[in-house]
Amino acid sequence: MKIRLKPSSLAQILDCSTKKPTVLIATPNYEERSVWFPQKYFEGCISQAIDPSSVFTQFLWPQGQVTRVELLEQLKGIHFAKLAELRGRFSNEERTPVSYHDDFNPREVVGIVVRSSEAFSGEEHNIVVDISCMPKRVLFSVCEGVESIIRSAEIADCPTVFFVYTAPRRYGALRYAQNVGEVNGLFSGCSIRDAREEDVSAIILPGLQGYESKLLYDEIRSRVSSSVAALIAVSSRDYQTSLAVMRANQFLMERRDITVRYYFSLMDGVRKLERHIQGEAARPIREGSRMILAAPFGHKPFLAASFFILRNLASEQRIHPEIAYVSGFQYLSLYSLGVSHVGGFQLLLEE
Amino acid sequence: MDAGTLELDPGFIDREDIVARLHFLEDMESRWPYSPAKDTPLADRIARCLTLLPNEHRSFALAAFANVVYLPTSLLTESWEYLAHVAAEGEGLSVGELIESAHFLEVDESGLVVDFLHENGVHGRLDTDRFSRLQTIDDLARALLIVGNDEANYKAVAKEIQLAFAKRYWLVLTDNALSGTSLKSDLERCRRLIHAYSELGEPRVVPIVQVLTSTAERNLADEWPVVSALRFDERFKIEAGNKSCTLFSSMETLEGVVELSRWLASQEYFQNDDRLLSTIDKSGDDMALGFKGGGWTLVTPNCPTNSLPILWYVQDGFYEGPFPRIMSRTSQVKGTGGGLTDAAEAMAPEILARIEATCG
Repeated sequence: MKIRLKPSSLAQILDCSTKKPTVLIATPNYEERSVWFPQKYFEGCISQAIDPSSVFTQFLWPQGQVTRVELLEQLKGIHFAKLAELRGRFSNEERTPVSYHDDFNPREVVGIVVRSSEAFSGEEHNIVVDISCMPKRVLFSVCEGVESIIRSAEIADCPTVFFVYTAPRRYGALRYAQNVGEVNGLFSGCSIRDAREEDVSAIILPGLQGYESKLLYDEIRSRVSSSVAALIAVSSRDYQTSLAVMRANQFLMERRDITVRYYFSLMDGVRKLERHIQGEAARPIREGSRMILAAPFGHKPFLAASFFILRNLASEQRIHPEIAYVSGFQYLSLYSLGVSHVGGFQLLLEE
Repeated sequence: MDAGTLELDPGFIDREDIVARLHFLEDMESRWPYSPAKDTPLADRIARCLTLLPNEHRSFALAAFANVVYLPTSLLTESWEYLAHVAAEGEGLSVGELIESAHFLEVDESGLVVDFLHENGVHGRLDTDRFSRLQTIDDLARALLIVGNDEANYKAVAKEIQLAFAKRYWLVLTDNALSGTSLKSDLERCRRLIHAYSELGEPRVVPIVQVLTSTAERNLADEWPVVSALRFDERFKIEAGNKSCTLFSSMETLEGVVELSRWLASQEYFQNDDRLLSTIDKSGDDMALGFKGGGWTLVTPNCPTNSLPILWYVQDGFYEGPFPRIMSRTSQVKGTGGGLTDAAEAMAPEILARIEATCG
């Protein structure tokens, strides 16, 4: 079974919610955009007279011991309160604390996702995951949870899965990145440095901070055979943010052994990412196996997209799919401000 | 570049983040060279330009150059796939369906249709039963006049015309809509021809633009909703008193760049340059900030006239902008496009009768 990605909208999600019960998974935090989609979704449910008992909301509530910052916790409370009135009309809701980012346990999140889906066990249903403010390691585990639900069901009984993302109006000034560490693989859970493959094909989707791309490049450039491509966002709405990302990742331009390509929207990027990965998987391998490494350091939807695109390669011989992750936790500053637009995609299953 | 010999102010260079911005631009440009500059490195072009400027304008020139938005061919070419998807989704079609049901036109002949089809993996662009080769609105008007006037050759042309009008959409492609003037003129000519030849079909005109500005958007108004890949608004516009401009750290720098632009436009060389006379005439101002007061710092594969002339104007030994432009129009003779459309519109009944007789 292959999983394909198709663009989706709030209207489409609401339309599906009128037909089947829905599990909504989200991570409200101190950013305004973190509650934007749930709020719009609940308002839509009310205006379309969707039965409250047909919506189950699972709010993941990341809580760290070491990194707990009272001021941010209070901001979380304020945003969460915005949902209170709407939420009151949807009584079957859970708020589940998740240890993050210290003591993070990926299996705990997978379990929460699977259990949430069981709220409508035996019934056709939708799963809507709002990934806007979901930490990347949590998101990876959510993808694993969703995948396990899909793979354990017959195609006809599979839930309809949507991933939605609310883009911010702008990012706050990035300061004091903490916990910057080495480049790890999310699939293997190991450092990329320890991967045995000498043939590595990496595609970087750079982020605002820049350092992740350089760390990754330094890790893999010494391999016998490596190719590095960068897929850079050029926002049709906000070229200034794109420029900031390009400037932060200037070394990608400097290195002539890196192929640079551009994308103009989430789905444009997903298409180009998928084509690139498929192209790299199809290239002949001289010996051993090839690691195909997606490095979604920028927008979160690309982590979910990379997960499902790479999982489609799972049956390919001599291909080792991997997703690169570098921690750089921003718990000493606000991360984003305001709300720009909502985008997302639906998972389509093919035999 | 030696800041000492050019008497530049280090504080100003720091405030405007000029070193990092120029270095980024240099990296972009060395990877994707600005071809009209003929391999001369950007640093040399900027240094040369600064030496030709009066001292009081040099810092502001540097600030303007550091804020160039460089859009190389590779970036723009990649936008075609995105634009095809957006246009198709807007019509509720797949890209393949949209392309098969569209006739393609480009504003000014520049090979955009071929690029669009290549980037979207379309095979058979030369199949005459699928795609008409009448790829500008002038081509189309000329072809209509051939049917009306040329007894010997009209039959083959009539079939091409019928094919173009039989499509559901006319996709009008352009690289830049910065003032929107050329695009709007072509769109209106499309509309007039479709109206005059509605018996052949009434395709919907969809403008598809790689780079759009807020000025062009206003000019096209709600009448022509545009599908665009990149949109630049007042934040990127250099204009006296523009408080929305975010290119510089202070209004003083913005005003300094405006002053420099005015200085260049006030020079006799510029005002009396034969190559520019018709453009200045059409612009309706002194073009200090570019065609129709553009004020942009956009540099595409051939720097547009809507961008500041301090970027693209060259007069050997007097002023040499770092992004020299190859002028598309230098003649004083007015274009014939409007006349062709007038004539094709006026002869519509006879031409339609001939197409009917030829193609049935």
